[in-house]
Amino acid sequence: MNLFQKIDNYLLHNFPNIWVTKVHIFLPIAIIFMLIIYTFNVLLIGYNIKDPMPEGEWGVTLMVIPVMVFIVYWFVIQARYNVEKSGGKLSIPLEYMNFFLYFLMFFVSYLLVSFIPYTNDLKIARTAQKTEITQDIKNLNVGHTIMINAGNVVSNNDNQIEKKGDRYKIRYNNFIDTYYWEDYDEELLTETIEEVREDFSDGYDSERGYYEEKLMNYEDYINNPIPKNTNNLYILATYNQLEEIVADYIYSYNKYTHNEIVTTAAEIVNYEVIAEFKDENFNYFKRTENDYYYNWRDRVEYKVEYLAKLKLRYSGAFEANYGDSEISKIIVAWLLMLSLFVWIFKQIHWRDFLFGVLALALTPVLIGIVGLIFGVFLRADEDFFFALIMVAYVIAILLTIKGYVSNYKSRFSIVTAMYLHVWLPVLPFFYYFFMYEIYYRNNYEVRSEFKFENLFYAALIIGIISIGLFKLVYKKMRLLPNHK
Amino acid sequence: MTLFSSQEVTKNYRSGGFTLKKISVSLKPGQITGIVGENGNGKTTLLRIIAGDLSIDSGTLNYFGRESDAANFSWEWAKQKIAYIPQRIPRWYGSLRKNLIFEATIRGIKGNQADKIVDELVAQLGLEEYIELQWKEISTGYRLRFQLAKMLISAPDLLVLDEPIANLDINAQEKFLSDLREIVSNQERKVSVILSSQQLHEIENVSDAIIFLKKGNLVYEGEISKIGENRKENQFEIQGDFTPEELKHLIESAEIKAAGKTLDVKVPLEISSEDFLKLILNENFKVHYFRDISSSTKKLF
Repeated sequence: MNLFQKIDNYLLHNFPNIWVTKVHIFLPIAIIFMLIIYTFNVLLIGYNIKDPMPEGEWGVTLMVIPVMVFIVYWFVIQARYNVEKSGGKLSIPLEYMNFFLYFLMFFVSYLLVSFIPYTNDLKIARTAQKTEITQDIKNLNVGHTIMINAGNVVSNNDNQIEKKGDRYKIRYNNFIDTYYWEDYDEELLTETIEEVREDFSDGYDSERGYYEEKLMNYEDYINNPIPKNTNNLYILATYNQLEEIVADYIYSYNKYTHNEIVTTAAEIVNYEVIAEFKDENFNYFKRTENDYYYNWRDRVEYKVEYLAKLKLRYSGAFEANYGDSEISKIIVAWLLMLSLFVWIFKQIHWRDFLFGVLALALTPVLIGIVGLIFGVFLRADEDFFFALIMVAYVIAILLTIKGYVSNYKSRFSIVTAMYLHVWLPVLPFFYYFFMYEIYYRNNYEVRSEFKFENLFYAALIIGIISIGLFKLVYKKMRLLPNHK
Repeated sequence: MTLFSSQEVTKNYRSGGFTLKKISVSLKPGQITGIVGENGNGKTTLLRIIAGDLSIDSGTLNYFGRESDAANFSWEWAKQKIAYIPQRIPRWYGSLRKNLIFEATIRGIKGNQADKIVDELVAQLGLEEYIELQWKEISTGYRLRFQLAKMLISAPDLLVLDEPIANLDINAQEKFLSDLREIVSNQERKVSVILSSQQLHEIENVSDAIIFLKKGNLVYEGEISKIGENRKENQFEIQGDFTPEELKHLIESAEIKAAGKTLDVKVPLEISSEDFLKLILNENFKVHYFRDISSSTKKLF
């Protein structure tokens, strides 16, 4: 008897409620799959940052079909064994445990689908250190203005570079775009980005009618985090520092491409020499590969931005893939809903479940008919529709109670109960929009308090509580005699 | 004491014209009760009502001393004590042993105790050599017996079987019915069985009581030994190398009907089955088949 069989046998003999879920078989399979993908993609294939960035989209497409087969097969097995329907008893805490085991299955399936893009990010993130990327961004952003203006370093070309006293005033270039970083994570960015100006946010002087220049010495630029507000930012550098800037630029640039710049910094900064290398095409400088195919996945700025996303904005590949709070909440909500479907499937007869799914699938048709009648013909307002939804909830609750206290089984009542159960967690959202329409719309103080997060947690709590409550409802209804 | 009783129960299907009319029956512990009747006469309907699978339109049901509409009654409670095997047994998945152990563990019999109870039951039903097989690897007869084993794990007070022997060969029928007899006779189990069947002879052989239904009406309910108690004539089925006319010539008072090769013969009470056979054999007629149905529900058909 192998280890799998031993575990299976142990669970069968001691924890039949876990045994029926079969997670002890499916989860290790999923983990083994992930380990195989990790070994191949990260350890064996690996990634050199000079190569084009690996594509992740095909990985999702590749994994969707096997994962669908995996999850459907698991679902079919769920139909085979059932503790409650076989006459056993499952306490409410055990029902909750089973529900979370179903959730675990769906969560792992989701991880499997996204695992190839994730391991791609993992191996990309391994190519550089956080401090190194910060330095590269600074090098590239300050040097890029000189690079695109090479051959015209000291002349005033669209205010890009001009002489100012004993220094050169270089317009800061957002070559590696950091402009919207603050939208992601304020706390994280304080380490890498700083506010340059405090007097007004974007430097626009309404009295003068133009953006005020923000000046920063090159030494300050180098010794401080990446500036957050780069609007109208200029770096002041000496002639010697210009060469240093270009040398750093080339150093950072060449790290991310096989098509390296081979022209030296001194040659680029020197106006006379640079003229010889200047080309009419995009490539101004001598490169290692003359017939270079310019794949967007191979662009230096794309790579550095992507690395910055992984290492600076999200502190790692895991955060970048699964850490976005709002999206992850929506994904978790969907996975919880799928788990709820499996849980309901285990509570009622499969025919009743099928009718319930059919009723849910026909909801858009019902909405269309109601919308047509009340919206188009009777010209009803939004508040009317939200009130109608509230009434629908009340009717569904009453019908469910009627089915619960009845002396015989009614498919209609079971389907109504399932329909209500699935829509119940969404109630906080409908309630909020209903209240918004009749009350909050003219009350700005209350309106501003709207938070997706609050509604999400309210929905989550209702959904979790509903499992314990509806277990009793389904059980009573399921065991009643049929009425034919 | 009765395990189950019904008082004037009626059931009318909304979809069809069939009605079960004012059925009053009772099931006693430690007994096998057979339900007989022609097809479509209400046997399955009555069994489903008893099993709590079908609602009634009027009348009262009493399960284990509680009225079904009483405050202290719940279907969950009643169904814990009832095991129902429908005509079409649902398929099992995985090995038969795993299914039986699962049946034990979900009822709180865990660990080695589950193995022990399954092994004992399987040995009792003589199913040891099939226990490691899959559902598709065993015959219909063994499937039924495994289903019986599964139901017995829950130690029900009442076992409800709908046409259990309908698809079994004669040997499997005999084996199954003798299993049932053994289970009911087991004092530790204290289980009662109610089953329906078309195999009148086999059912009458194994049952303690009979319920006879005709077009939704209860024609007879009671102990099998009392079926012919108040009869006014004896009734036999016979096959042999004689014609109805020859038989009529031999016993003038006999009322004879031919059904294929078999003759249905009604004679006065004074002529017992032994007398009847002696009369025929004395004439050197050969008898191929004979059955005394004077105390059988057969004559009620």
